[in-house]
Amino acid sequence: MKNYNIEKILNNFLSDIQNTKNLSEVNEIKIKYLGRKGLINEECKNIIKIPEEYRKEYGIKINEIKNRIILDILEKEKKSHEFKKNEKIDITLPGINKTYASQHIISKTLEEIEYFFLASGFEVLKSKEIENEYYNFDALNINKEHPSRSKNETFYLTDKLLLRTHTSNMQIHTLKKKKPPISAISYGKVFRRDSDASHTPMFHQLEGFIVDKNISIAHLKFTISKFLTFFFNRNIKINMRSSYFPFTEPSMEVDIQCIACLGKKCNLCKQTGWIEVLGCGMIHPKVLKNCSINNNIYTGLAFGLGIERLSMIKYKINDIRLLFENNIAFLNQF
Amino acid sequence: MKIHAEFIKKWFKNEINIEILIKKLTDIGFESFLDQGIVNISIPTNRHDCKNLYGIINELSKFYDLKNNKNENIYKTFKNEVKIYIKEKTFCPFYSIVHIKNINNQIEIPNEIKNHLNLNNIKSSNFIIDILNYSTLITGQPLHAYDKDKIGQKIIINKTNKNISIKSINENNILIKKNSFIINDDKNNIISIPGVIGSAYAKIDKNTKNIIIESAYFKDNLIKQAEKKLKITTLASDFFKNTINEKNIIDSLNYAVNLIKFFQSCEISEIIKKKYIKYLPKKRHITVKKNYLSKFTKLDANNINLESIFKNSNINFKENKYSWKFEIPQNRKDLTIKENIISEIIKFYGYNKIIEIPTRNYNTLISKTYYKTKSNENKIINYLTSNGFYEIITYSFVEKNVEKLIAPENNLIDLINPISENNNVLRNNLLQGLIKTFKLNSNKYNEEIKLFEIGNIYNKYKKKIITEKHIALILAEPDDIHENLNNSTFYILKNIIENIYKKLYNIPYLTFNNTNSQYLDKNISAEISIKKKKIGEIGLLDKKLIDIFSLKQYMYFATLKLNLKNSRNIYSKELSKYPKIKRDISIITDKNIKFFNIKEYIKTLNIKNLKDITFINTYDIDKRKSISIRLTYQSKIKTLTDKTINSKTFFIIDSIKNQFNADFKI
Repeated sequence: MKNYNIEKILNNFLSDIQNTKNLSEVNEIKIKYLGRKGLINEECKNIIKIPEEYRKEYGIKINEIKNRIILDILEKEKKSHEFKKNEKIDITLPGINKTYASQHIISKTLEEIEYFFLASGFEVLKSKEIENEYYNFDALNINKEHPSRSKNETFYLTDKLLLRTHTSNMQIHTLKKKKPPISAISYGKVFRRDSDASHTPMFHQLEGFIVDKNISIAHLKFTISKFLTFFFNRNIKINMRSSYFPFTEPSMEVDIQCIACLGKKCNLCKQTGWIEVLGCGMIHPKVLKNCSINNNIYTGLAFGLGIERLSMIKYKINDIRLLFENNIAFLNQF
Repeated sequence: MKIHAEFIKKWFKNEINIEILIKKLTDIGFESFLDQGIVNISIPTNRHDCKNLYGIINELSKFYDLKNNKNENIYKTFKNEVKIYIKEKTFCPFYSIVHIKNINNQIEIPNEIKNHLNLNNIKSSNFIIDILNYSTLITGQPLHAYDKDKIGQKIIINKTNKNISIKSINENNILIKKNSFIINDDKNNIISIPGVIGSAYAKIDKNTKNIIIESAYFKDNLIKQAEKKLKITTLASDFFKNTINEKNIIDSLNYAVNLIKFFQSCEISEIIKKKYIKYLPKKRHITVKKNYLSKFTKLDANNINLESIFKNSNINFKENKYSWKFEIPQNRKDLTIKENIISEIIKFYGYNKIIEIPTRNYNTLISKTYYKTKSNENKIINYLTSNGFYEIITYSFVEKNVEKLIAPENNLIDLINPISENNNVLRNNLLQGLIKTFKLNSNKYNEEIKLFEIGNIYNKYKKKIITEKHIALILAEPDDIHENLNNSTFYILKNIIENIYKKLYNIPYLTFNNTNSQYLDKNISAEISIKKKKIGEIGLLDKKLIDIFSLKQYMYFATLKLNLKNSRNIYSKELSKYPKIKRDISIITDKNIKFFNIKEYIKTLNIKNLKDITFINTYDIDKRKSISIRLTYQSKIKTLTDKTINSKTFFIIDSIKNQFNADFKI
């Protein structure tokens, strides 16, 4: 049979496939020749135009060429997947620069501390920044003459409303609503009218407390010690010493052995070998009573820590104001 | 309180290492440090009894042996003729005086005394006053002196029966109201407001030769009331209102007199006193059961040696098999409950000797709301930081003059006592902190700056203060403000917002509508809502803010409420195994037709198997615009044919043409 169109198709195919440079082009060729509307299918439809005696032979020819095209395409696809031999690259060049910014170090520290207490069975309470005098002072056994209540030390919004000076207000909110046993933490922003290299008018605190039967100073010591070991990621020596807070009795301050000099005295620990990290104590019986909790049956432990302070010690930040200046060069370090 | 290190050492028998002494003071609750030879001691607010050297020395006597500094009464060179009359015994149950003649009040006060006064912010006055002030700082018992030549032979503790005006020793006019306590002489001249301040009438001056020194007990709460009425606080009233120890009254008088005698020769009378025991504070007792102490501290009460803890102390106790009973000194107002006593015991025993005992497992379940809120917040932080946004934390109070440009002034909450004019109102929006931080960094940092903050904002609404947690983002146009604005930054920010809500809250469709925001450009901004409820805003900062902050770049800002209640639960959907087919169409329409309008309209056509309608691009053509849209079709039961898809697409096209008077190109 003269002038097999199919042979022309094959020749065109061979030329096309040879010139393909990549898999995408191979795919285009595949669709062109083997697709539903491809040249092979179209040619099959044209068999009707051929005289009947030649149709069988033509049909066989089309199939042969179709199979050939399929095989050639497969071959080409296979080759396109092989790695080409390229020039050697400089593997020491840095990765392409897409900035991975930072979570604020305070936010990171809070997350870390929260994780510890959650895992230790503490509930996390909501936080309330705007408070009244009762929850911020009175219920916490802070008498009317206490200097912290003055307008020199506390921010007031009205005569009665103020910005809370500590997270201990949440202790009162919780103890008034829930019955013991209670094991909880609360954290967030607190506000004091103070501003210098080691104090800012706003900072972050975390408060934790347990109220139950037979809670003792020994339990408090355990909780604090385990937390500090976790946070500083080493066995930490602690020193517990007497202090005074109106809402705890006894009250204690906790120092850790200086992590820079290990107690040998340096500038970080102001030549003492110890760094103060948090305050704690047994919840004052009056505070329990104010929350209608029978202090003859229940006792409680409480502790409060400054997030900025802990971050500054752990990460060797020497000025608290850096934490609120938000200089990217500073933030980027963490 | 400040004391010279060398001075404090003199009170102890043996050689003292001052650094160890400071550590011991700190450990028992008096945080101290040494600064250029001066020991600075922080006295807790509940320990007024220690605002004097005797109090501190007493605390340290548990660790160090004291020198015998007994103050002996060695005088009585003449008889004291002055008579004491106490008409107000409840107010003054104990009053004592000594008379000193031929004193020279012009001699120079010794440096040691002057230094100690200076250290504790007391101005030097004259010999007598300085000695008495010094004595007060040492013993904790306030003393007062009168010029004997100016007063009569009687000292009467009394109450006024009318309002009286006097001049005080510092020459101020004071109105003493009726029924207030006074001390007057037999000529009815008021010589002092007892426990508070002396009057000018009997004032000591450089020429004074004869003095009466008074040492007394005045009822603490009545002194407090007097302070409040008169609006005066003095060194003396501060001690009296916090209760002095009645046992110290004579001893401190002896101390002062011995000191005067040491520095000059003069004649000293015997001490005369009037004491009404009935009116003195009753002895207080606190009982501590041993098993309570053991339970509280997990220490064996029988192993605690209270004798050594309370040696040299004013606190006496009696012990039996089960408990201790403590007698509390009058001036120990900090000891009222058994826990105070336990605190006193443990601080000397040593907290470090207490063992650690694990708490039990409280098995607290994490609240679902908390978990969802917290985990979403963490995901937002991770998502934004990986997209180059730095998290910042700024103060909750901001500058009112700027905040007024961002929010209606009525909604702002003033601070009554701000720390500065830059921080005088609670923030109504996170914007101000972000702009200021951006500005600080753009001066130092040349790279692209993208910032976000998660924090509370505060709004006044119908006299209530509403606190809401928001997230806000800010990023700048890469080019200088004088270059043409490239709106693509708006859409970059928009995409970030949409991703946050789609992935975290499973809310795929936020609505963006025109906004009346005071601080965003009217043409390049939007209010963001979910089901018609506003959750935030996004847009280009208004020019007035750019001017106020002298910004060099256009800034885009978005703010959103967190803690949404209407986030949806995620469920798996059955996936189709049949291919997706896409058709791109370009619509040429009026400029006021938005993509959202077209998309929502297509949805109303309810085309079966139309899975998605997505935006490709847009550009202006003369006075109209072209919007290119991709229609994605997919069936769950079969591969859709070209014929089917084309038919649907043409239907969509025809519908849009009619609806929006649009032209097309495929």
